[in-house]
Amino acid sequence: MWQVRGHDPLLRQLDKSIKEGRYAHSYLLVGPPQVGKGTLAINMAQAVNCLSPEQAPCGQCSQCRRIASTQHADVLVIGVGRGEDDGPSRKEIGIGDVREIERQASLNPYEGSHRVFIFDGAERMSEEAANALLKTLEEPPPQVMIILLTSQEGALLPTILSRCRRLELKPLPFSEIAKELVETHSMDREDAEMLARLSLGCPGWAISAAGDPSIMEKRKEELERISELSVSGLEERFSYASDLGSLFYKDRDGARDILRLWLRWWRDLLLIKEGAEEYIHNVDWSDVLRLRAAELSTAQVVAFIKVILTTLEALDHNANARLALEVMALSLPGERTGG
Amino acid sequence: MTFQVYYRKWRPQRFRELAGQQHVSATLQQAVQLGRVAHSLLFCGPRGTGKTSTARVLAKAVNCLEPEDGDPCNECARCQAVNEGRFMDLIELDAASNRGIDEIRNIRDRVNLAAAEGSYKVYIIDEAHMLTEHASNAFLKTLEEPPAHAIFILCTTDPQKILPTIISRCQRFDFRRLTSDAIMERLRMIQAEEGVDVSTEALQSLAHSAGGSLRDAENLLEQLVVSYGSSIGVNEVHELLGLGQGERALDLIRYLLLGNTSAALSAINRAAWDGADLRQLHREAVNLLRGVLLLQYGSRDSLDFPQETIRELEDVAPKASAARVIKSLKLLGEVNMRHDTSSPLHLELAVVEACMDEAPAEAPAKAEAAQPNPPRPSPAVQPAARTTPNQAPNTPATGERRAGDAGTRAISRPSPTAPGSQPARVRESGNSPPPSSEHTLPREANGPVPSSTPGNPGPGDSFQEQWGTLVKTLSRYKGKRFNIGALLRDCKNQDVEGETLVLTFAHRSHLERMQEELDDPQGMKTVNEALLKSLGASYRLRLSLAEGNGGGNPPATAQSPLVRAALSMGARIMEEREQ
Repeated sequence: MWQVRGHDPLLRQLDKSIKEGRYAHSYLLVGPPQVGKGTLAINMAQAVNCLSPEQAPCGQCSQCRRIASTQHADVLVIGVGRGEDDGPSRKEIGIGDVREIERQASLNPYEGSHRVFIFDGAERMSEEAANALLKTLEEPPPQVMIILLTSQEGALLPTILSRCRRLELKPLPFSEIAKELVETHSMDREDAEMLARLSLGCPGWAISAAGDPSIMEKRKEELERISELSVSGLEERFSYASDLGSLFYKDRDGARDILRLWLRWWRDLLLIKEGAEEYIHNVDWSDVLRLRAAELSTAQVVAFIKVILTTLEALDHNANARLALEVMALSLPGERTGG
Repeated sequence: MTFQVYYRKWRPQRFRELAGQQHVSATLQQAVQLGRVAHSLLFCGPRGTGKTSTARVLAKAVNCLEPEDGDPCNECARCQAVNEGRFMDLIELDAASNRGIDEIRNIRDRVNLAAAEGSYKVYIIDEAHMLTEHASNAFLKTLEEPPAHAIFILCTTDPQKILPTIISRCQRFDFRRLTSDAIMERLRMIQAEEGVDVSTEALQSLAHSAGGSLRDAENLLEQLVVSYGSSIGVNEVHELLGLGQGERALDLIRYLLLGNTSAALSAINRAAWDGADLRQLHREAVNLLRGVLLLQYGSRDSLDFPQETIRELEDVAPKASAARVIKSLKLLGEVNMRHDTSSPLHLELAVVEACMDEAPAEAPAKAEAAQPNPPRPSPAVQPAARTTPNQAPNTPATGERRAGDAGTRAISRPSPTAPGSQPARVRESGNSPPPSSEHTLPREANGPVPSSTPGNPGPGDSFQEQWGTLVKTLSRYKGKRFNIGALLRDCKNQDVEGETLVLTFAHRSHLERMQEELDDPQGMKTVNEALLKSLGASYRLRLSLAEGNGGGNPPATAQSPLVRAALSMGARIMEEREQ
C-alpha cells in the first residue's frame, strides 16, 4: 500500500516496474518541498525489500516496519540535516558522505534484500561529492538502489541527471488535498480548503499543519512581522534582520522558509497591484495585503521582490547572513522614520 | 538484479555499434588493426556520447584474441571476461572518488607489473577532470612514458579542467553531441530488440529532447515503456515531457505584447494550477516571441512553426512595437527557471516588468536624448567664436584665476531641489560672472593656431582620436601630485563650446585633482602645450561634474541604504569623501 497521496499514474508505473522486477537502479524524484518525495522514497525502499512482494510495500512485514521506523540497516537517508543543536548547520553533502556510501554499497545487504541510499536534497551535494557519485550512480553493484530527492533539479550536474530515471511529483490539485484533509483529519470544509490552498499543492505541509496548530500559529506570527516591518522603523528592521540571521546560522532551511514567506507576501502584493488578485497565496490576509498594495507602486514591488531573490541567492552563496538580511531590511520600501 | 536499465543493457560492445562517433571509432579501429594504439588517450565530450563505452570497447579490442578488422569478437575468453567485468587487466578507476595523489601513486607502483591475462593493461580513468592538481602532476611522468604494456584512457566531460600538461601527453578524441538521426537510429534498434512499438514521430520528439545525449534518450525511452506499455505514440511522449503547451504560450505572449498584465498573469497561474510544466511554457513562450520578432523584421521563412501558429503570430506581430517585443524577449530570456521550477514567480516578475515599460523607461531615454554630446565642434560655430580670444569679458586673467584660493575652487554643489533633468551640471557659480575655474590658454603660443582654427580637428582626424593622443602625451607627465593623463582618462565627456573645452568628470574627486593640477603653473603649462600639439589649437578649459555621480550630491549619497538608515536615526553628514 503506497502511502503517497495523489500521483496515481506515477505510482502505477512504479508499482508495475517493481512487481515485474524492471525497476531502475537509480531514481531522481523531483518536486517542490513537502510534496511527498521522502515518503515515496521510503515506500520504494520498502517495496524492494518487502517480504510479501504481491502487495509490496505491504507496510506490515518486519522489513517494511523497520524501514518505516528508520531502523533498517540497509536503508540510509543522507541529507544535510539540521546539524548539532548549538553548532552551525551543515551546508552540503560532502565527498566523505559519498565515499562512505560507496563503501557500504559494495557490501551485501545486511538484513534486507536491497541496499537503498536516499539522498535528501541532492542539490546540496558539493561538486566533488556529485562527481564522486557518478560512477556508482551509473553502475552500482547489484542489489543497490540510489534515490536522489531534489526540489531544484537545475542545480544538479547534467551528468547526474542523465544517469537517473526521473520521476516528477507535481503539486496536487487543491481539491484533492482538501478532500483528504476532510476525510482523514475530520476538518471543516472551509478550513481544509484554506489549508490546501496555503499548502501550494504539497500535502506534506497541509497534513502537518492540520495536525499541529502551532504551524499555522507560527505562520501568522511571521506574516504579522512581515506586514508590520513595511511600516516600522529602522530599529525593528535591524533587530528582525539580526534575529533571522542567527536563525539562519542554526537552521538554514527554517530561515529560507521565512524568506519564502516574504516572497509569497510580496508576490501577492504584485498580483494585487496588477489585477490578478484571484491567484494570491495568502488568501486569509487579503485585506491587509490590499491596504499595503495601495501604498506601493508596482516598480517598488518588483524591485523589492528582486531584492528578496538576490538575498536568497546570496545566502546560498555563503554571504554573511546578517549583512545580507540587513540590506534586505533596509531596501524595504515604505515608512522608516518611525523608530 | 538481473534487470538492467537500457543504457547499461545496450551499451555498445564493438566499434561499429558506437552511434554517431564515426570519427573516433574509425580512427581507433584502424589503430588497433595496425597495432599502433597510443599509450595515453583522452576522451572528451558531453554526457552520454559514448566515452566510457568506447574506452571499454578499446580495452577489449587490444586484448581480443581474434579481432575482426580491429573490432573485438566478444566471444573469446578475454572479451567475455571484460563484458562480465572480471578481466584483471582492465582497471577502471573512478577519478572523482579517488582523486588524490595516493591513488595515482598506487597506479604508478603497479603499472610496471606485466599484464596478468591479457596482452595490454588498460587503465580507464573516468571523470578525470576531478583529479586534484597534485594527483595530476604526479601522474605526468607515468602518462608520458608508461611501460609498453600499459594503455591509459582518460575520460572527461570537462576537458578545460584538465591540466594542459596532461592534455599534451594524450592523444585527444573529442566526442560530439549525437545528431537526432543518430539517436533515432539507435533507439529504433533498441525498440526492435525490446519488442516495443514506438511511432516515428514519437521517436523524433524523443531524440530531439535528449539534447544530443544517447543516455538521456535511452532513459526517456525506457521510462516511456515502463509508463505506457509497449505501444507508444507521440501523445505519450508529449505527456511525459510536458510538451505541447503551444496554446498556453500563445495566449501568454499575446497578452504580454498587448500589455494586458492581469490577463497574462492569469494565463501563467492557470497553467501552474493545471500542473503544467512552467519551464516548458517559458521555453515555448520565448520561442514564440522570437517568432514575432522575426516576423516583424520580415524573416518569415526562417520560422519553424506549424502553419496555424504562424497565422496567429502574424496576427499579433503588427500590434506590438518592436521595442516591446525585444524587451519582453530579453526579460523572459533572462528568467532562470533552473531553481524554483514550481513557482510561477519568476515568470510573473518578467511579465510585469515587460508591461511596466512606460514609466521607468522614460527617464533613461530622456537622459540619453539630453546628452547629444557632439564629439567634435560644429565647424559653423567655431570660426566665429574663435575671433574673440582672450579679451572676452568673462575671461579672467590667468593670474587672477590662479590666485583663487580653495574658496573659489569650491565646487558648487547642485542644490538638492534642482530638477535632475540636466545631464551634466556645468560647474559654474551663479553669483560670480567669471566661472571660477575657467582657464585661459595663451593664444599667442604657437604659429599654426590661426590656420587651424576653423574646424580645428583636422579633416579625417576625429576629435576622439585627437583626444586619445592628448591623453597619451599627458600620461607621461607626472603632475604635482597626480598623473594628468590618468586623470584625463577618467574624464567622461569632452565638449567643445566655442573656444572652451568642457571636461566632464564622473567623480568629484577626479575633478578636484585636475583642478589642483591646473592650479600649478607647471601643470597648466604642460597641459596647454599638449593641447596645442594634439588638438592643434588652444582652448580654455572648464571642468564640470557629471550629473548623478557627484558623490557630493546629497540625494546621491542618501541612496545608500546605510547612509539613509544612519540619517533617519538622527545622524548628520559631517564630511563626505570619495574613496
